[in-house]
Formats: sequence, C-alpha cells, structure tokens
Amino acid sequence: MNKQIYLDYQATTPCDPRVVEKMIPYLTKHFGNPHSRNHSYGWTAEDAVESARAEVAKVIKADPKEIIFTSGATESNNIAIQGIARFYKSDTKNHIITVATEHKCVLDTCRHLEEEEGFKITYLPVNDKGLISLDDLKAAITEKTILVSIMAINNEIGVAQPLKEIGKMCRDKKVFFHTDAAQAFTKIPLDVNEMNIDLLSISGHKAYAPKGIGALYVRRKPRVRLKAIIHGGGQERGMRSGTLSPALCVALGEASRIGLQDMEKDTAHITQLSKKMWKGLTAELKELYLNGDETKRYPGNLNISFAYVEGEGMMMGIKNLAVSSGSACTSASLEPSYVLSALGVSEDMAHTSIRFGIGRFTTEEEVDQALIEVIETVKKLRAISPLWDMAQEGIDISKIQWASH
Amino acid sequence: MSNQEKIYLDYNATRPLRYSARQELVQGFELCGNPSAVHSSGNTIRRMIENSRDTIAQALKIESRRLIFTSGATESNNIVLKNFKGRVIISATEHSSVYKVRDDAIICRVTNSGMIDLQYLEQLLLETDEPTLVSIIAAHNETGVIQPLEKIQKLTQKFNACLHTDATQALGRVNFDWNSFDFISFSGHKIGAMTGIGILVINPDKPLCPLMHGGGQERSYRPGTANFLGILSLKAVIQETLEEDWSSTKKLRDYLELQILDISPLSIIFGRTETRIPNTCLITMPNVNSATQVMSFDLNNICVSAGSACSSGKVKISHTLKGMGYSDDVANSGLRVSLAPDATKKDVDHFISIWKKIYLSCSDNMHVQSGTNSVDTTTHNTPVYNNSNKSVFRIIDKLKSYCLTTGTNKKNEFVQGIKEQSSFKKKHHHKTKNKVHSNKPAILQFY
Repeated sequence: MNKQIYLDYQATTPCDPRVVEKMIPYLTKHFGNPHSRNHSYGWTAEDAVESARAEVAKVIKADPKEIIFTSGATESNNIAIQGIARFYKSDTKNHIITVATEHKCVLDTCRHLEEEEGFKITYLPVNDKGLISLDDLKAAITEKTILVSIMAINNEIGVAQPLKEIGKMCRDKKVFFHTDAAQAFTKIPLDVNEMNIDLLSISGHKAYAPKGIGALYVRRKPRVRLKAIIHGGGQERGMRSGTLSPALCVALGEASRIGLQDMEKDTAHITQLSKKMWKGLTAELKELYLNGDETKRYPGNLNISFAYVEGEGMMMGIKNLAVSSGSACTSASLEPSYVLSALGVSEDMAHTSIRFGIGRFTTEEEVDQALIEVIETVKKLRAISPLWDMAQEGIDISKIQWASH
Repeated sequence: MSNQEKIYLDYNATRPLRYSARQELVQGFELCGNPSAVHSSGNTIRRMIENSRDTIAQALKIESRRLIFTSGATESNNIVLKNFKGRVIISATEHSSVYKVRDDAIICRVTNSGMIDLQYLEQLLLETDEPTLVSIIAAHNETGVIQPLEKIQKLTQKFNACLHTDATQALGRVNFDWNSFDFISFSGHKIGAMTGIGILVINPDKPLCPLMHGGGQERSYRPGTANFLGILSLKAVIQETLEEDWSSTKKLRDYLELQILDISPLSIIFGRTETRIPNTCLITMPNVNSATQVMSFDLNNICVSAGSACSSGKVKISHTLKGMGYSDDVANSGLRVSLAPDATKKDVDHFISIWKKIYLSCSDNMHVQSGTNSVDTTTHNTPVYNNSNKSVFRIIDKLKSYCLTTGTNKKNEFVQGIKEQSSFKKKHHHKTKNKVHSNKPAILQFY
C-alpha cells in the first residue's frame, strides 16, 4: 500500500521535527520532577516548564501566570466549564450558554451539569453557514448567566465565530467568556484582552506538539476563579494537581513559538493549497457544497458534501487519503454529524461530507494526488448511482416518496 | 553547574526515562493519526494503543479491559475518590492526591511506624452498611512502608467495601496480586516511562462517575485524545519494571542507614521496623531543618528531597509524619533518600560523608550558640553549607547566577523560604528553649 496522504489536520497534527528536537533533552538528560524545589534537577525542569508557559502565553497575548498546563483540550474545557460553574453557582446564578455545534466534550460537560447538578443550559442555534447570531446571544444572556462558552474555530467545518463581538457582549453583561481554541491556537491571531476572553482552551496535538498536553488560559485581572477537578499536590496554582511532564510542556512551548513565528507563512501556504483543492474539485465536479461560511472560516478546513454519492463508498474509494467524515471523536460510530445537522444539512448530504484538513506539512503534490483520487471516485460512484441519473434528468430526489419494504 | 556530576537520590520523585522507552518513542514520533479516526493512519495508532494495553495487562496479570489510561496517578486517584457515592476511608499517610480529594474522607489511624491500624479500620467498616471505599497507599512515597494489602483486602471483602490502592511507588518494587483489587492507580514516570501518563485499573462491576466528559475515549472513564507517546513508553518499560532487581539497592540502603545511625544515634528512621520498598529511607538529622539539609546537599551536588515534591516552593511539614504521631520538630528534620536500582556504594559513601559534614557543622553551631552570646556568625554558620570560606562565595555565586539566568524571583523565594524557616525555628526556640540554631544570618547577610 502507498503511504497514505494525511489530510486530517483537524483530528491531529504530526509532531513538528523542531518540536521533537527541543523536547528530547527533557526526556533524557533533564529528567527532573519540575515540582522538586530543592535540587537543580527540579530547577532545570521547572525553568523549562516556565519558559514554555511564557511561549504559550505570548501566542494569545496573555501573562504567563495565566496559563495552566493540562493533559489536553478536553481536560481544559472540563476544568473551565465545570470549574467556573461550580465556583460561581448560587440560587441566582445557574445558567450557561453554549452552541449546538461545540466540540463533544463541551456539550457533554454541559449536559452533565444540566442533568446532575441543576444548571440551566442554553444551546444557541447556528445559521446554515454555521455562525451564531449575536442577537440570539444577547437575548439568551440573563441575570442568571454565569458563563458563555463558544469555540473559536469549529473542528468539523472550520467556521470562525466572531470572538471579539462575543467577548465585548459578555464583558458588558458581566458574564464569563470561555472559548475552546483547540483549532485556532497558532492558526489565527488571538488576543485575550482585545477579545475579552476569560478562559481559553489549548490543545497540543492540534498545533504540532504531541498528544497528552494542553493548556488553559485563566484570566487574572479581573480574576476568574475555578473549582478544581483534580486535587492533590496543588500544582498549577491549585487548579490542576499532578506532576507536569517537562518534555510535553517544552514541546507545547516550542510548538507555540514556531506557530506564532510561522503563522503568516503557514496561513499563506494553507490558503493557497486550500484554494487549489476547492478550485480543482469544482472545476471537475458539480453539486459540491462547502459546509460552513465561505469567508469566515479557517482555510485549512474544507468540509465538503458530495451530492449523490454514498458516504461509505466514498471513504472506501479514497482510502489512500487520511480524511474524516465528521469529528474524529464520533466518526467511529458513523452517525450523521450533529454539527452538520445543526446547520440544517440533510442526513444524506451529511453522510457524504468529507473533511479535508490541510496543514503545515501538506504539499502541492499531495493535493494534486488527492484531487485525482477524489474526482475519480466521485465520478465512478455517480456513474453507478441511479439517484445521480435521476437528478440529471431533472427529478427532485427529495420529493420522491420511497416505498418501504 | 551541569547535571552530569550530580548524584541523584530522588528516585521516588521521578526517574529517568528508560532506554527501552526512548527507543519506542523514536518510532512513535514518526507516526501521526488520531486514534479515534477511521482512516488507516488513525487505525494504526489505535491498534498500537490497544496492543500496548494488552501487553501491560498481561504483564500485570490483569484483564486488559480493566485498564484505563490517564494523565497520571494523581488523576487516577481523583477519578476513583472524587465521585464515589458513599463513605471514603483513607489512611492518615496518603499522598496528597488522595488526602485532599474529599473533605468528608474518614481518616484511618496508622501506627507510629506508618502501618495501617487494622483493628481501627475494622471498627470503621463496622460502623454502617453504607457503600464504602477504602483507599490505602500500597507503598509509601516518603517512608517506603508497605501496607498489608492482603489483610486489608480481607477486611474490605468481609464488609463488602471497595478497595483502591495508590500503587505509584509499589509497582516493580513489591509483588502484589494486582488483579485482586477493585481499583489501582499507577504512574508512568515513577517506573521510567514518560511523565504525563498513568493507569487506572477499574472494576467494571463497580461503576465510577468520570471527572471529565467528552468524546467517550477510554470507555468514557477518561475522555480526551490519548497520550500516545506516553502509552508507548509505558508498554516499553512494564516488563523490565516488574523484573527489576532491587536486592543490591536494599543492601546499600540498609548500609546507609547503619552508617548514619553510627554518626547520629538519635536519628529516627521512619518505618524501619516494617517492610519497606528497598530503595527508600526517610531519616532525620536531629535539630537540622529539612530545607537546610536539602539545600546543603544540593550545593554538594546531591539531589535529595524533604518528602514528596512540593508545589508551593515551601517545605511543608508532612502530614504523613504528623499522622504517624511525630511532633513538628521531628517531622521537620526528615530527609528522604530514594536510591536508583543501579546506585553504587561510591555514591552512597559520598552521601554519608556529606551527611556527616552537614550534621557535624550544625552540631558545632549549636554548641557555640548555646555557649556564648557573641558569635561570629559568618565563620560559624558557614559550615552549615560547607566547610571553607571559599564555598560561601560559591553559594552566593551560584544563587546569583541562578537568579540571573532564570530571571525569576527565585532569589526572593529562596530568601523567603529561609526567613520562614528561621521564624519557625525562632518561635520554636522561644517556646521550648530548645537549642535549635537559626541559619538566618549566614544567608541573609549577603542579600
């Protein structure tokens, strides 16, 4: 088998070799426990962790003291949402606002708070482009609202929500604003002060660092307080106990440094390839639909529905491409994506949607090869599809009354 | 000062990555894919994770479906304790990741050698029929004392309670029938795998409420994309961890203890009468503060600790030793030495000679301070850290360069630490008229 072409940068990214190089000494030579405060092995490890923290902070223009390291964005989201909800809960405050298209871990956390701990949750709808309406948000915020949690860039469809406007509204209404920036960190400019963000979740393995490391930004001025989920040695200012891995922290730090330094270059590269991919597909194939807003999106994510193509057949046909149909966390189940459903995409179209993720290490040749395979497969599948023939003859498939057997 | 010339006697805090883990990681770095994705890159990663799970399970003789990967033992401990519906009984000497999880935890007494008081435990279990979880550390991180888990297990079975054990320090150093416990926490970095990976052994018949919610990974016990590299490193080291030979380490540890008792017969070795893991020794240096000891050792290129790695920058009095019934004074003069499996007699001898130096110089001070009122603190206090004037400047240079290179407030922290110690000691001195010297002048006069 040929080596697969990796086009799944939203699920996870390869480790940047520069990141690996930087972290290796912390796996071998500088192996100290960063919380051993009384000898130099510990100090060396601690210094490395602290410089990494500063690099992470720089990307989002925060103070290093406002960054806590976690095991990943799932944990960050859990700490942020559960932590804030439990700390500020009272009879007069018990409401959380989030969006129907959030990552599974945000929705599941909210559902848990709703079902087990008596919180009221508002799930804001999105329009057919995947964007929320600021008026909806404004209307949803009440006296009882504690937190608004809205992700920066959607993992499935790549749309970018208006963080600055949301942040301003939250600040005006004095509610906390959390954003899951797993897909946005080092990909688009983020400024926690300009955007009035109070909490921001970061994932390492979506930003060319390894899996098992992430971070959470927690604002200090005005101070945001959290109830910890994990208790113990009191590391990370008591918000997240447990021994930190200096190697993984260093990796996230270096990935942040590189990500910030190369943001423009990466964006230019990714935008160019993304355009090439979209143009290449639309030049050869009809009835393609880009899911999510065309302009307010991260270019590295092309989520496309191929009409009149059977989803599993499509995945089999392009099995040389590592792509996802929907979020990786749920795609093992093959249910239609709840994100696409929230946009009003029909079940059929959701089943035929493929997410092409383009990233730092994607090459022109890979895109060329992917185009050939996708175009060939779609043409082949449509050629054997009676639906496609009918559609070409002008029959509206959605109006057909199927007989049941 | 480079790390190479240092002697690392803090193996219970963390140990270096084993060679086998490094090799495994080199391969792991090359691979990319989200284990939950359906395409073949994701599949490869998922298969490797599941193979690792099977390998580890086989080595531990536990069904592989009982193994959940977490970010470390702290998280594993929290998952078991935090949301347990019912009473939670813990020992007075638990690690803080068990000790601090539940405000309503019932503390079971330990003897003054650190062993769980089985009669008391039985009494506690007798109290009600409420669902009960007992969480007892298998081998203690500070004292090394091994608990009689088989006996504890008989009790929990008798009363139909769940049993959890934090086996962070026990894995590879004590043989237990791991399959017989309901819940176990293991840590990666204490056995030479990566930091940031741990295991929770669950009992599918005794459900737990997860701490976190999300994509349903690890059968929802622990969502989030798995730490793939961490898992590979765990798989790589598990077999050699279980087969590791600690017998020579035990001899060295016993030798070390005898030598120190020879120098200072009043030193207390905690839990010495009990079975302990072979590499650990918690020993007091009478009337010398733990922080002073560890700093002095560090200046002599020996890495030891005062107890478990503490996050706050201060050396706190261990709740473990308090739980064992020791006074603050005694608890505050303990030093934990945790040896490597390949520790050498040369290293241990060097440690002993430095221990002796620190001890003697402090005794000298005590003698002088109690004898006269006007003491030249510069010359007499210096030996706390080393014996010559030259070394005083080495200390200062070291601290200065350290503060400069890191740009942190470590100097302040350091000075703050010293101040707190001295104020503690002063207070103490005042109260008990004990001849505890304050080392404040030696350091503070330079800042």
